[in-house]
Amino acid sequence: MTEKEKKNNSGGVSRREFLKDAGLLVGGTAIGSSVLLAACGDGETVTEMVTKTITEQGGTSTKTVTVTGEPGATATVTSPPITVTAQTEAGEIAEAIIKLDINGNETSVMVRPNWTLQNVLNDKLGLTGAKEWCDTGACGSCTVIMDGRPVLSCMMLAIECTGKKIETVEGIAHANHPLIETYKNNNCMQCGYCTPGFVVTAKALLDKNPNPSREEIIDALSGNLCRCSTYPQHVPAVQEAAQKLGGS
Amino acid sequence: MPASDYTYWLGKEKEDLKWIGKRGLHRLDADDKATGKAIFGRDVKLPGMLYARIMMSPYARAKIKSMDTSEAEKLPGVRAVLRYDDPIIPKRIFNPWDPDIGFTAGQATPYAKPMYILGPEAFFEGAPLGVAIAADDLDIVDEAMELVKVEWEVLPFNIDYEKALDPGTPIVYDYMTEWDPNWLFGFRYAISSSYADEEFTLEPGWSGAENASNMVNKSTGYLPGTDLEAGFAEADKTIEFTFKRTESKAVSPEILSTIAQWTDNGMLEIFQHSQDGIKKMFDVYALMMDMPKNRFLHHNGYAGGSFGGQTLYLNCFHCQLPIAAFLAKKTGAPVKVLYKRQDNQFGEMDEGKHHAKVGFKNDGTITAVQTEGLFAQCGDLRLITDTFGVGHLLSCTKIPNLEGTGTTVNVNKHAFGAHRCEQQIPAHYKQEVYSHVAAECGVDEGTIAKVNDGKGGHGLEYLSEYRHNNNIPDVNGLDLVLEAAKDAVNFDEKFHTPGERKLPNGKYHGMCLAPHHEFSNGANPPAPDPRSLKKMMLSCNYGQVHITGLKGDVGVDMRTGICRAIADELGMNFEDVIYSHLDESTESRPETWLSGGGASLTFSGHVWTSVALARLLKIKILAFAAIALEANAEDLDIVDSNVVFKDDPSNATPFGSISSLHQITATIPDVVMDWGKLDIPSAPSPAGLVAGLYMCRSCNILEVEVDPETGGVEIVNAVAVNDVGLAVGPETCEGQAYGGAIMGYSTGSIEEQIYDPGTGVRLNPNFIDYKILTLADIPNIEGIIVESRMGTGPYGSCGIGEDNTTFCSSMVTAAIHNAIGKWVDTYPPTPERVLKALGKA
Repeated sequence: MTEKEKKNNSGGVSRREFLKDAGLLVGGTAIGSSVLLAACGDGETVTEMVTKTITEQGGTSTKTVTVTGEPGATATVTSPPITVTAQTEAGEIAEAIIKLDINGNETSVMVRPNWTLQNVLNDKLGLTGAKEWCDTGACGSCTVIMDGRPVLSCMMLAIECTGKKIETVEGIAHANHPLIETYKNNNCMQCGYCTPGFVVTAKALLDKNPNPSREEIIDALSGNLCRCSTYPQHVPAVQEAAQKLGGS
Repeated sequence: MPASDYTYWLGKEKEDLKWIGKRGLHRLDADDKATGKAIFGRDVKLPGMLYARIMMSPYARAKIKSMDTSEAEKLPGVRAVLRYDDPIIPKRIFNPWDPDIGFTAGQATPYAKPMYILGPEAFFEGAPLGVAIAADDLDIVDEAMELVKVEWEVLPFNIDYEKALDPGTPIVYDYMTEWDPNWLFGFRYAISSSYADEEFTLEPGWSGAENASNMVNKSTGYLPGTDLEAGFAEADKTIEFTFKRTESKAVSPEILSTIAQWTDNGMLEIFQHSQDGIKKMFDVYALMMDMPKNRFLHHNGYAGGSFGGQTLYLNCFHCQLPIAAFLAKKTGAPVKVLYKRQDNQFGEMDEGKHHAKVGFKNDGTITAVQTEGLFAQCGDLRLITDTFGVGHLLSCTKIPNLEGTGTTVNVNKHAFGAHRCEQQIPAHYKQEVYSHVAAECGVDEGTIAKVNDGKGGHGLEYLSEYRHNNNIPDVNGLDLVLEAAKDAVNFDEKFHTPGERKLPNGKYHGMCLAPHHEFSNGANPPAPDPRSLKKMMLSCNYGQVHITGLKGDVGVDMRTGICRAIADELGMNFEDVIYSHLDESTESRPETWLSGGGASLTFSGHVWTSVALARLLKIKILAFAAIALEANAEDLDIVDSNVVFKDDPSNATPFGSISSLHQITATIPDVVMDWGKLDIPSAPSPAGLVAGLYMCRSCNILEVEVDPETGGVEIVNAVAVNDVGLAVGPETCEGQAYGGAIMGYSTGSIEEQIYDPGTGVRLNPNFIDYKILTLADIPNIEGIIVESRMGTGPYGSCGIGEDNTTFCSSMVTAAIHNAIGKWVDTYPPTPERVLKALGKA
């Protein structure tokens, strides 16, 4: 029995392994996975599940985003090219260089098609604030802001993110966002492993809603898990940050 | 009754403490953790580092008949394949009773499973075995692992602890005759009697197979003088009840990982996700790798949630370090062994079935308790057998007749893993006893606690006399916390007898009140015994005092607490006290050890050391300052980082401007040498008391709403009141109060590891299917801190955290009973189980 057969018997499926089977072909073939529109759209406000295709057109990658459940809600996004540096014999991308705007710094990074954004940020670029906890999009510890929206970087293929503007907790801290101070003031951390994910999600909330209610804060942060259960202090921390930013 | 002067350790009055108890100070780790700068073991990356994984068993019980790794070895980028039959791996099976390891029976007994490196046998699904592969990146590792071909011999298994002793049930360790006789010796010792003092010898011809059994241990313990027959005869009423707890998991956020690299001088350098890199862990590793114990350099970084589980036992059991070390040896590069989430979903401590018989009088005075428990081998055997299920009743009641029996059996599941482990099952027993008796008497649990309050069969007068004789403040700790908790939720107005309050929304309202004692595992005063001192040095450095101390962090903010204490002891400003980590060591645990995962802010040998060193350093500073200032040392003091004259505090010299102070140090040898000169008295001893001191009390209250149609339970309101003696870091104490409580409500209400009974495979080793409470699920909850200064740590402090978790997990079914008048007999109380209790399923 091979390891692959073994995994089929197990209740646990690694996100990495799942993504590895997704497949990505050069030259217009659809990516075989579904992604969150919130993670890949360009200004859209919907967050339903979508399917998307990538078409290579003379050095410009054009993505057609089709919104499931909302016929006609289609957006075309122009992204910088993905520079393929290695292919398999079957014509699949083996390695490619993508461009990311990370915390305001344009970065080119070599990725493989099955690498997640979390893996690239944490392991390849040393931005350790995006933490791996669940690896299945269930804990929020790897949250980053992409084009203004909070996304789970363990659920994003890095190769899909070319041209995206990404904010990590490191960028939020470097910009002296008041959330850092209010999180410290409110003792929002114990072991601290999940704390950056909360900060990033809260930043995305305040960007969109500078004066959130208690219920809206709870709703926004309910996708972030904390095993130490620091939960109660996150609400006042976000409220105080909103006040510092000029909200009520 | 021992008598000693506690005044020395109690220290100053609270109003004279400037930094201890001060609100608004940021934790020293706050910035690192809020900004993502905190480096956890899993974040570490070294130049040239390779990545590795270990094969995990797909079967609950199986043996590798053959394994072909040739295709994996050929894959480009694969740097090393470490097979179970590689000559580099010692063939020995390590057992925790090995005298070279030196565990006590109590420490080792929970691990009634062998520790081996990639051995060919799997005892449970998810067991690391067979092969480990190191490659340039994880993609290659995973691809190579898929190329490994294994021929398995799938063996019969049993995951049902209630069937473990039935005739015909597969014996977990029946094959051990094939293994090292030394291991057999240890194992036989274990299964015969983990607490036996007698010597065993390996008799010629002794067969492990013939003697094998799934029985690990059966023990009975009792309070001296117990007469159950008389106790039950004295009772007005006797009740019996049974409850079960299914398996829950610690689910630590940071997944287990280990990096190993060999230095040029033959040292093994380690970065490991570990709660504490304690010496015994390296004693085990040294044995496993056949290397001297002084060849390890351990870097202990931040630890992403441990809760007791990510400590020496599990780290040794999984053998990540020796595997990483052997791979590093083969490749000449640093190797990082990484687990996946499902690989890390291990460890449990609470699966079992429990029965209690309780005799009591009409006023709630309990006359006798007899318990009997059956635990899966993963059960918290050490704590259970230490206390026999009645541990908490021993430690904070005057009940005169207590007896508990615990039976532990082997099943094909992962070994024990601590999870906020302060006597979890005894905590359940105590709360079940209190809640059942309260319901029978028509009163709340606080009333039951008050009429039975005491220690080891003695009443409150015993505690009062003890405190008086030892200069410990004498306060009725239970009254303090009961009043605070009841006031917080308006308890007396809300209280009702079971099933009496139906809400307008059609649901039933229920409450549970859990009085309990402080968390003081390890608070037993160690000073002035030099063995209690930890590695630490204080040194003056241009107006600052630097603490060079060992590192370890599980989130309890011990570093800040130590700096607060030293600032107050020396008269320094908090910002002038700097904690520098002594990072490389084989003993890196003092910040957390004995504070337990998530518990104490102040106790542990490390803090005793801090206080003793600071007092010694102050004597030295004033002596040197007296020379520089041409004054008498006894006329000087330190205030706000200035050396001042006592009779004229305005005559102040900045600490940093006295050049002769810059090289003054205080070290452990100094303390030991000067101990007599410091006139440090003996601290109170627990001798003569049963089950520790436990002077302080705590109280949790929980409110639920139960939907009788769906069986759904909503936790709507809670309060956690803890007497911490003295809160060194008040906000951190409050965080431990509500944080521990929420974790307890999570494990007690929804968490359950599910297995496929047909295969023994875990069905929910992930966060999609294994749920924990989120911000949207938690109740309104308040953490309230009470300060009686009766704790037996420095400044009268004691621990907090574990008690909230362990008791709160046992409150949910009692609150449900108060709501619907029916007992749910199994934790967690799923809707199906609630409906079953209501006779609807």
